Amino acid sequence: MKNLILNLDGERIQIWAQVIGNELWAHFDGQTFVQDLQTSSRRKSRSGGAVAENELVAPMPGKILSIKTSKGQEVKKGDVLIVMEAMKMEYSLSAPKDGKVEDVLCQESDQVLLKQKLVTLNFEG
Amino acid sequence: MGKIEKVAIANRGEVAVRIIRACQEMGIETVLLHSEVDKNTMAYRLSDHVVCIGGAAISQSYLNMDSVIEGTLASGADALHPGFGFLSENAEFAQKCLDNKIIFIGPRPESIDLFGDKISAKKLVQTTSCPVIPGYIGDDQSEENLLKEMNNIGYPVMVKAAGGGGGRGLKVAYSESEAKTAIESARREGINAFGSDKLFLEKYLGKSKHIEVQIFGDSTGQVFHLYERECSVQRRHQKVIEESLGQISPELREKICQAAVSVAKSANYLGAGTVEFLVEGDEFYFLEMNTRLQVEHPVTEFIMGIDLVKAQILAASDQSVLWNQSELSPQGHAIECRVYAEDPYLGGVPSVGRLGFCKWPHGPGRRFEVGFEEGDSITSYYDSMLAKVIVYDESRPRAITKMIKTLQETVIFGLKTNIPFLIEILQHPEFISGEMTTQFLGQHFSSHLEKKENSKRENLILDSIKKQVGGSKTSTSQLKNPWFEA
Repeated sequence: MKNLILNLDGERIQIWAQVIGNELWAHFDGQTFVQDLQTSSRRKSRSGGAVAENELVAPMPGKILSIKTSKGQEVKKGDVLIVMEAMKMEYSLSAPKDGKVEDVLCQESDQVLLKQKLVTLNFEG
Repeated sequence: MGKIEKVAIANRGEVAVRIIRACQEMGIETVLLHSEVDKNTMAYRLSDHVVCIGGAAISQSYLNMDSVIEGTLASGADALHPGFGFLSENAEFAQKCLDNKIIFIGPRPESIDLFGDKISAKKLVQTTSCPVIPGYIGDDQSEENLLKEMNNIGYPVMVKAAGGGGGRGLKVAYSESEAKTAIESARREGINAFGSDKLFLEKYLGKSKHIEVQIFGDSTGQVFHLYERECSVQRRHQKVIEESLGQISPELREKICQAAVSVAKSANYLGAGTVEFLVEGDEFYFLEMNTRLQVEHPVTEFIMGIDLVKAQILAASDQSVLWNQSELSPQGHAIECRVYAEDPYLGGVPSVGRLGFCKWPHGPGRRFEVGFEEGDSITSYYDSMLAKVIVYDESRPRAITKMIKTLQETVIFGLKTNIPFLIEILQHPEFISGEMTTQFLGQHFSSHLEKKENSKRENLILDSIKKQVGGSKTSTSQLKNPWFEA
């Protein structure tokens, strides 16, 4: 961990910084920033990233409690498709818009990983 | 009961640290009862003695009554503090402690039993002058009957597991079409978390404030009230920001505090407890009574100048507290923010892993309840609360300002936290006005926080930091063949 004082055009900025794995964690101006040092892409405290809209992925590691849909089913925006549990709380994953379920890629009581694909959807037609 | 010399702590995280410190200040030895994975925590390092009580899964350790009792007996502890959550509101467990001549630092098993079943609690309160929420607390638990009752009550209806708490086993059905799903889901959570599928129904009050009164029954039979806390800022029925006093009129405050005392007295209550109410306008309704220390107890401690954990230990050892109800008067304003390891830009998804550097910016009227340090792991076995930040100042606006500054100065590396989310809430006009209800977060913060692009200035600073910490380090690039250079 490094505690730095940066001088930016005469302004003193106090900075806390630490490299963890491939990430630079920095704190200044009352905010925490995380930067990937390998790709040098600039991101503010944020993980994840774009996921294709026609896939429902696990937003966290956890357990599938129940599957509320099946292959080929027509779904409406907001319909609950999967109920999962993580950290003792239940989370409902719902359809992002109207469409059809192309495939269900998980089973009840499966342990799933972060960002694992659970359901694929088709919004055409 | 008599003098307590060694206390076993059947909990983890910041509350375990809180209890250990109270004991150490009172000259009492501590024994931490911990799970296999909880060796890398502050409580493990601070406690005088440690006993491993089982595996990481809570059913094998923190909820395993026999294992907790065995660990306590093996350590020679004469008392046990359950903290909150886990076995803290389990009457059977409290009774097992007594059967094994272990002093249970909490209320009597009968009181836990009475209030633990939300249905019997409601029935008791109906015998006092305290108002209750319209609903269904009957024995016919068939889905058919519950659906019928939900229609009678009128939507929205709250479906609650009788043994529930802390937002678990609690679902809201806004219309008939959501009723079945709500019943199924509350039943499942009830079975998984509390081993009971019994449900009850309550009219869901849309525009209410969550106000709760801290009460305390001492060993001489006196029941004190320590004024109210407001916990209207809730997400999925889990509290996020709490404060004391609440934003209610002095007349209502007087009525609610007296109602809380009458509920506690009707149960001959011993120790710390909290009577929760929903407040709509000038009306208030009994919600439930929690027979334990609350997560948010520090805001009460700040404005009342007391120590609730020490008071609990005194009550359990037959000692009286030094308080006098007429002299107990609140001073200033206190706010607590719960810091969760979760990503606010991804809708609050839990963030697990190893904690990096942390800095808690101490100062006058700032309190940090922390259970983890750099290098400790946050796992998905337990809830994601990392720490609590509590501030005190002379007025509510001053306390809000202090909280924002304190959170901005707080540094937590390695895991994403909800701090950006907390700061947004504290700056919201409705929160500042004090008029927020339990709907506040759902109305204004239902989706994840929008990520802003870094400004030019921020990128400039980041580039400069990279140079100084050696951003393009060799450790991140591939090792070149050290023998033959190209």
